[in-house]
Amino acid sequence: MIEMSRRRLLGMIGTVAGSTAMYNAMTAMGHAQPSSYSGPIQLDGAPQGTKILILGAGLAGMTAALEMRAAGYEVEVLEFREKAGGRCWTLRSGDTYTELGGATQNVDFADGNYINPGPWRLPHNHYAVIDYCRRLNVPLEPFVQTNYNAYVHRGDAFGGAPQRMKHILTDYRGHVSELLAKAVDQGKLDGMVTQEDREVLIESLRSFGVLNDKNAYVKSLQTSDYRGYDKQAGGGVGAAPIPSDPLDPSEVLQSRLWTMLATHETMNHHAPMFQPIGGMDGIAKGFEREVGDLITYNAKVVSLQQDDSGVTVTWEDTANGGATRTTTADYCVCTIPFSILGQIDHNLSSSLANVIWGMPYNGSTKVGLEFKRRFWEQDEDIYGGITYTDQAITQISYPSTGYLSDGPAVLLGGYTWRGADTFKFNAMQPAERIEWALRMGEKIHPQYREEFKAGVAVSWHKVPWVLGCSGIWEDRERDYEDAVAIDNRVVCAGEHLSYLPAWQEGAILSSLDAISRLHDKIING
Amino acid sequence: MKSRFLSVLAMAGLGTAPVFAQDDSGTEQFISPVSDEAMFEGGGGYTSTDGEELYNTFCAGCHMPAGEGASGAGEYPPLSGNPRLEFAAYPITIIVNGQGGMPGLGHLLSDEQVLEVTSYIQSDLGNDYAPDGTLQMVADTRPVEEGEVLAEHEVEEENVDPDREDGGGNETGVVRHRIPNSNFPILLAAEIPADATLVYLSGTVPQVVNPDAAEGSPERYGDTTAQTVSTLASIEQKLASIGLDMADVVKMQVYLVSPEGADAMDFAGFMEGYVRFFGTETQPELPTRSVFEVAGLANPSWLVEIEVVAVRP
Ligand SMILES: Cc1cc2nc3c(=O)[nH]c(=O)nc-3n(C[C@H](O)[C@H](O)[C@H](O)COP(=O)(O)OP(=O)(O)OC[C@H]3O[C@@H](n4cnc5c(N)ncnc54)[C@H](O)[C@@H]3O)c2cc1C
Ligand code: HEC
Repeated sequence: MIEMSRRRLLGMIGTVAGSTAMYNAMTAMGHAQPSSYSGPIQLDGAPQGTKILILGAGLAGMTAALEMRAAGYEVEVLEFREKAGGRCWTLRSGDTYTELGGATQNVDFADGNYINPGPWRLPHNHYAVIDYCRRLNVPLEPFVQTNYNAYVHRGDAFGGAPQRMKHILTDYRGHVSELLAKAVDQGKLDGMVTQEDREVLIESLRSFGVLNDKNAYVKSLQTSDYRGYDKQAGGGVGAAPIPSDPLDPSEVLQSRLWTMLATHETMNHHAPMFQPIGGMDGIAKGFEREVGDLITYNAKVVSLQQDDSGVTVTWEDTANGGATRTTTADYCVCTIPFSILGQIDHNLSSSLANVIWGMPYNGSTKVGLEFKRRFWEQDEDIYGGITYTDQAITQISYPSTGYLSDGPAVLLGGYTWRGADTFKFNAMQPAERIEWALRMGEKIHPQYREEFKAGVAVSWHKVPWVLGCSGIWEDRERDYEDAVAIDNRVVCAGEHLSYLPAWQEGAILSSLDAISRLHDKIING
Repeated sequence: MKSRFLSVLAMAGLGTAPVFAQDDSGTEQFISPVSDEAMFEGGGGYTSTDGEELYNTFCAGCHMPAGEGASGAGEYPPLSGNPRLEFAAYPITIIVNGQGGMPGLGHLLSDEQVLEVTSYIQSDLGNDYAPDGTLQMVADTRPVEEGEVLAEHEVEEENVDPDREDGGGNETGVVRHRIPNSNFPILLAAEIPADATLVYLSGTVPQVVNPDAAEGSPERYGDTTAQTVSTLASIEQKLASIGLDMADVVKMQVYLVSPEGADAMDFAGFMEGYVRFFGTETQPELPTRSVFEVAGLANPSWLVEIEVVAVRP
């Protein structure tokens, strides 16, 4: 079924939850979702000479290639790009990237500097991706998500001056604890708290909020030990610390800066997080070392047909003038994003075709900015971590590597996925996106203009091999079973077919599940 | 660096493109003709009501600055020189509700903005159609709250009575309004009581009528009439499997693809199939109905896809 008609019908009869719901797909990134990974899979006993054709050499495709070959299948992979990894991708000095529309960026970074335009951090509880890093010898290092010395910033709070996270965090917690402790003490919560609990609760709030023995959150050496001092403790003459003034309770509340504290606490952002040393594509290269010999690059799949005897895929050999070629196999694992699969000539069943057609992709823009020096470290004592802002760039993430080094360094100067903002960035040329990232970033770091060296901006709706960042379900509960079901000889897999959208873990788990079911079907019918 | 920026912009081939200039400090400054300072104001939403500006700051990201579209592993279709933009209803539907890889954008734009950008693409980007959209068309395209009248057209209270037809074949409490002074076999409106159980059937597609015909050949599924008949027959079966029949259908949406070689959908062929199932002696009931011509369906041989909504008696 074509998508327009379904949405149109929904529009006319008004049962849809509201299209804004679709845009919540990205916010799901912040929700806690445990991994279902329970160790390496064991598939064996593949029937002699059974051939599996895998479409796409992203992490889903390469996971399938690795495990299906290990099971004894004959495996072939067709990949549109000239290299493996798909969205798992790093741009480093010397690279060139041409987006849809033709704008080409030459990455002008200093030697060894890079930006991860797509995936950039790994939660420690994404067990599958971490296990593959272990098995594929991909070295990881800590990715600093939370930095108490980084900023939280809103144009309409504190006169637009960025606030250190430690101040907002400590003061917010202190003021709220004080209110609660007083309410309990004055018996205002008696209906809700038992007599025995009252005292313990107050005691815990004093500890949690750093309250004094009158249950007040005040300027003191104790509170400064959490929020920071005016003058920090030292040694020798005049070394005594001087406490700092907490911010006004109402101002802290009204600033709404507390909205920027929660991300760190979600399970997908719990410390420790990791990143592959030298760039996220370390994972892609790890897989490629194992299965690179199975991959045909520069192969643009244009047709996928199946019948009772097998699967026939037609592709254009873009390295050789677009010559049309055909590959056949017994079964197919298709990891091509639905944004593209929906445009490919296929004869998949209508229930699957429905979902493919009904899944647009949301956008996202990431801007990498290289500065001549690490002013955030040198001038502001910020080592890694993320500053959040209400501007369209949403955040600035400082490099979690190479601390204290001289010379240029790259930070993430913008990462947007919010509706209109993302479309605006997408409609710009790369240089404009960079200029906007500078304009917004300099409100937080006035050194920006002076120190700027080079930038790269990737907008995912313009990335030629996905046309988006991650799939948006029209109604995941309704459609999921249809989408993941094996359709005769074809099974689809990838980030989009998971409950971990826009995470590599989702791509790998989807693939492991799809190939397990396919293997079972091949063996047991 | 400077030359790179300029080449990027030259490639975009845009008269209205932002320009970059080198200032004394050596950093590129960006000067935009758009009311650029306001670009991200107002919570980041789109505030302009200028069709061209909306196009450049929104649609151009995928359809490209001159509407030329783009192609990678997948495509963004060109809007320049696009005959499908002759009538506003088509772009308005797509802008508001999306289609395939295009996300629905209705929640980011007001009715006026949708209309302005529609008029712009109809009359610019190498298109020369007279903008025929209205604010009402945009409003009608938006999702309505459940409980509103399930009908293609608004019903004027006073027009209703003469052609009012209560009940119908099955006891559903549905009120079927005939089109006044017309024999055209669809309803003007169907009024559904609040406590009715609505049943939405997924899109149903044609059956193979000639299994010997080659895959992909027009003979395999037959012409528009044959495909309409096999599709409606299959809808009849599906309804039967859940205890319903054709007389319970109150709403139908039909998608037709223009047959190979033809320059439009075969509406007459569709009607020929349709009247065998609705308004017949044995099945006199009629549904409300819309027919759309679409660019394509999931299988290139399909010319017909039909969705229905039924009321459970
Ligand atoms: C901005 C952004 C931030 C992200 N952040 C994180 C993060 O911090 N941590 C994390 O774990 N994940 C993150 N992700 C998600 C992660 O990148 C994806 O979930 C994962 O890489 C998807 O893998 P996949 O194999 O499903 O798809 P892909 O990697 O897209 O693989 C699909 C492959 O199919 C190929 N292909 C497409 N069309 C054709 C065709 N016609 N013919 C042949 N081949 C074709 C493509 O070239 C590609 O190689 C992020 C993604 C984005 C975009
Ligand atoms: C995220 C990318 C994206 C954006 C932004 C976008 N579109 Fe589209 N548009 C698409 C895709 C993909 C299609 C093809 C859908 C399909 O496969 O049928 C499309 C199709 C269309 C069509 C139908 C073209 C045809 O030939 O059938 C129209 C009209 C259209 N878009 C108008 C707009 C307008 C106006 C805007 C701005 C308000 C816009 N689009 C923004 C991606 C986009």
